[in-house]
Amino acid sequence: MDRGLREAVDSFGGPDTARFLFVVGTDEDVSDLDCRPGEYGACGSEWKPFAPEMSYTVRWMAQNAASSRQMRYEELSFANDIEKSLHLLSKRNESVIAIVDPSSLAIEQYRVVLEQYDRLQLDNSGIVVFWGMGSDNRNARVGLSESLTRTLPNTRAAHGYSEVQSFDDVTSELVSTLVKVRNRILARADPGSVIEDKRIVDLAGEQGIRVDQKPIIQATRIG
Amino acid sequence: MCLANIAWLLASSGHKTLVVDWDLEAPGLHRFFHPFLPDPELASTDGLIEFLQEYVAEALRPRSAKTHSADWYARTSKLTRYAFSLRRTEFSGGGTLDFVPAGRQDAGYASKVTSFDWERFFTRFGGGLFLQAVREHLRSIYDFVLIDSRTGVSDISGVCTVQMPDELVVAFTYNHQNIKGAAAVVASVVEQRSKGPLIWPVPMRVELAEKSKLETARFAVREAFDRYLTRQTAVDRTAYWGSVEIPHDPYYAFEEVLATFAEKAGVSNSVLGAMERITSWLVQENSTTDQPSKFKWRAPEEEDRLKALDKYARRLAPLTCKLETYPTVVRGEGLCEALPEVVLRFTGGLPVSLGGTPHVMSVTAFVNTTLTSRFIPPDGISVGLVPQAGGKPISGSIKPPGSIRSAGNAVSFPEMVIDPPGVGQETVWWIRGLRANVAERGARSQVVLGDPHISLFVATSGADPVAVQNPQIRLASVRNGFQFQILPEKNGTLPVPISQEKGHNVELFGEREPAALGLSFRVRFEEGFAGAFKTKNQEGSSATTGTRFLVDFSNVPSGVEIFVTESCIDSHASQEGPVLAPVVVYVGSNVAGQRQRRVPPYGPLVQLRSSGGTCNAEWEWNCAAEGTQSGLRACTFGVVLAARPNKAALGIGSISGTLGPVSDLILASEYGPIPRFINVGEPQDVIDVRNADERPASA
Repeated sequence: MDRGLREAVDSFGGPDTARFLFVVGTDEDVSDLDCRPGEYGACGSEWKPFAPEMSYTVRWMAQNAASSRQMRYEELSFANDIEKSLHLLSKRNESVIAIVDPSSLAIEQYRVVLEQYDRLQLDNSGIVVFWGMGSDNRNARVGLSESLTRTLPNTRAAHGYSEVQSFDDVTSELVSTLVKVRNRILARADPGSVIEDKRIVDLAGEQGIRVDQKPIIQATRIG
Repeated sequence: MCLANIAWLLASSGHKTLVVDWDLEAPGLHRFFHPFLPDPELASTDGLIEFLQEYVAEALRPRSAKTHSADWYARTSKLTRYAFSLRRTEFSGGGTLDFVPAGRQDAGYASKVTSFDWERFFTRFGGGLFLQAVREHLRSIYDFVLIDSRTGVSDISGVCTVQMPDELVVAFTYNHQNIKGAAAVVASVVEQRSKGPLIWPVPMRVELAEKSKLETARFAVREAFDRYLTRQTAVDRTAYWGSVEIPHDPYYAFEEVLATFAEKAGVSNSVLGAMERITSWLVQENSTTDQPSKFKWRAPEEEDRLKALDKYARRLAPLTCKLETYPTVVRGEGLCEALPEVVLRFTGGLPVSLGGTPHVMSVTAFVNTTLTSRFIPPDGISVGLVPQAGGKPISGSIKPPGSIRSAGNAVSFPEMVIDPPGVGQETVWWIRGLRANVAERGARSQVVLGDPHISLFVATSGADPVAVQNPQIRLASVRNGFQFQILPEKNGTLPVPISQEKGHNVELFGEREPAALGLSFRVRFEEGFAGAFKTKNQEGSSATTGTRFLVDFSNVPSGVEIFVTESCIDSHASQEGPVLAPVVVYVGSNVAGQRQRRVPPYGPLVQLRSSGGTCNAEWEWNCAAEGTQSGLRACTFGVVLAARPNKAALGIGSISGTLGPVSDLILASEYGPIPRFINVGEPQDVIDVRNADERPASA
C-alpha cells in the first residue's frame, strides 16, 4: 500500500468519525410484526420510521447529521462480533451511535445486541431511539417503552441517550447526541500521538516559555 | 474595546494584523467588527474552541507506526484556517485585518468551552508545545497578533498572558482592586517567563473631573507598574503615562463601536486620540528600523465613517408577526370542514405608550381551496379576527362582520390597528371560524398531486404593513372518511342473479306477509371521522340537518321491484335501540305509495318506486335520544329484489351510495343548515336478470 493510500486509511477513526449501528430489523425479519408496507428495507439502515409522510431512511438522516458536524459517516455491521467491534472502536476513539427501532426489539438478535451495547457502557457510545409512525398506537407504545427499559437498564440514564419523537426532532437529537459523545471522547480519551518536536521546544526555551505545564496566574497575588 | 481599536489602527497603518478572541467564557470581540462580518452573530462560524478541539481530535486518531511523522500536528496548528479577513479600503496600504472568533455561537458553545479540559490539554496532549507551534506559525505571517484574554484568574488567562504574548497590554481602571489585580497578574506572568514579555499598562475609562483622586491614583499606578517599563528612561515613562490614559466617554457604554468610526481623527483628548498614541508606542517598539517614522493611519472617509457608524447603531427589533396553528386532519368529502384557528403572534416595535405609532393594515388570509364559511352580517359572523390582550379576548373587539370581505378563497380584515407590543412582549390575534371546501383538495379530487392538505397564506397590506415571518402554514391534512360497501348475503353473489323465467322472491307479490325472507344484499355506510354523522336537529325546524344515507339505483330492468329495510339492521345498533329505531326511511316521492312488507327479522320493508329504470332510497339519522349522537360510525341497510316469473326484462342494474345532503355547495355557518357532502358514489352492478340458459351452472 503506498503512503498516500495508507494515510487515507489511517485518517479514519478518531472522534470525528461517526459510526452508526442500526438496531433495526429488515423487512424479512419484521414480516411477523404489524408494520406498514415499505417501512423496512433490505437492511436496518433502510428503515423509514416516518413513512409514508416522510420517506427518508434512517441512513439518510444519520448521514445528514454527521455531515452537518463535519464528521465522517460510517456504519457498524451486525456481521461482526459486536462486543469486540465496540471495544476496538473505543480504542480508536470513534463516536458510535446506535439507532434503535423499539419494535425491532421483539426480535431476539436485535435485543441481544442492544443489551450487549448497554452493558458495555463505553464512553464513545450513544443511543438514539426513534419512535416512528409505527409506534403511534398508545398501547403498543407503552409496551415498547417497557421493553426498551428492560433492554437498556444502564444507558437510559446516561448522557448519550435521546429519543426522536417526530421527524422534526431528527436532526437536533442526532446532532446533539453526536456532539455529546464527541465531547466525552475529547474530555476523557488518551491521545494516540503527542508532539515530539525538539525545534519547538528549543524555540520556546529561547523565549523563556515553559511548555511542559499549564501556566497559572497566581490567585494569591490578586486583590 | 482597546484591542479592537488598536487592531483597526494597525491594519489602517499598513500592518498585517490578526485578532484572536481568546475570551472563551465571554466572547464579545466580534461585536466591534459586526458591521463588517459576513456572519455577524457567528451562528455558523467556527473559531478558537473548535480549533483546539480539532487538535485534540487529531491527537486521538489512531496512527500506525509506519505513517506516524513528527510533524503530524503541523496542519492543525495553523490557526489561520479559522481566520477571515475584514475588507476595507482603509487597509489598502498593505495592511490587513484578520479575525479568529472564539467559536460558533450556537447551543453547543457553552458545553464545548466548559468541557475543554485545559489541564489534560497541557499534561496529556502536549498543549504547551502545540500552542508554541501556533505561536510560531502566526509570528511568521503577521506583523501583529492581538489576543483578547479573559481577565482575572482562569485557565485561559494563564495561557493568554504567560504563554502566548511577546508583549502584554494590561488594561485596568483607577480603582484599588483593578490596580492591585493587574499588578498581581503582571507579577505572576513575569515570574513564569524567564524572558519578557514586554509590559504595557494602560489605564482605561479615566474620569478626569475628580482631579485630586486622579492624581492619587496616577501615583499608585506608577508605583505599581513603573518597575515593568524596563525599556523606557524616566523621561520616557513620564511621557508614556501622560499619553496612554484612555478617557471615560459614556457614549461607549451603550454600544460596542470602534472609536475609529465614532470619532473624527486628530482630536487628542478623545478615546480615539488615546488609542492612536498607544498604537504609536506599539509600532515604534516593534519597528525594525533605527529611525521609526511617526505613526500614521488612514482614517475612513467621512461618508464611509458615517455609514459604518449607522450600521453600529442599535436597531429596535421591528414589529413582526408569526403564524401558528395546531394542524389537524379534515375529511376529504367535506364541503364545510372546520379548520383550526390560526394564531398571529406579534412581537417587537415601539409601543404607543413609549412614543411609537400604531400600525394600521389590512390582513388577508388566503386558503388553497374555496372558503365556505358563511359571512352573514350583522350578527351571523362565522369568521373573525379576534385580538387578544394578556391572553383574554377584548370584549366587542371582533371586527364588524360587515367589514369582512370574502373572495372565494380569501377573507380580509381591513383597517386592523395594532399597538406594537415592544421587544420581548407579544400581542396575539386569532383567526377563527374558517370553514373550507376540502373536497376540492381531497384525495378523490383530480387536481391534487402529492399529499393533499389545506394551507393558509397571510398577507398584510396598507400604509404600514407588518412583516409576517412565516406567511404560509399548513392547517390540515386531508383524509377520506367515507366508505360505501355492498355486501352479498351468505353464499350469495353479486350481482344478484335473477331468473327471468322463475322470477325472484315471488312471495313478496302475494297477499300475505311472507313468513321469512332472506335479504338479497346489504349496503353499508361507514365513516372514518368521528362526528361526521350528525343527528337531525332537536327543534325539527330543518329537515337538512341530520346526516342522510343515500342509495341510487340505475338501469334497473323493468319488472324488477326493489325493497329496502326501513331502518338500519346492524346488530350493534339493534341492541342500542335508540340508534336503530329513529333511523327511518325518508318518506318521499321515491317510495311506492304506502306499500310495506314486514319481513322478519328485519322489520318493515319499503318498496321503492322506479321511474325509467332509476329509483333511490334515503334514510336519515333522526335520533333524538341523548347520548347516542356521537356513537354512530357505520350503518347497514338491507335490500331485497323481487320479480314475477317472466315479467322482468333482461339486463344489469347498478347501485351507488353516498351521504347527504348532497350539494355542490357553497355556504354554511355554524348555525345554519350545512350542506356537507359531495357525491362520491360510483355505480356498481347489483342486479343481473338473465335467461336460464345463460345462467352459469354454479348459480
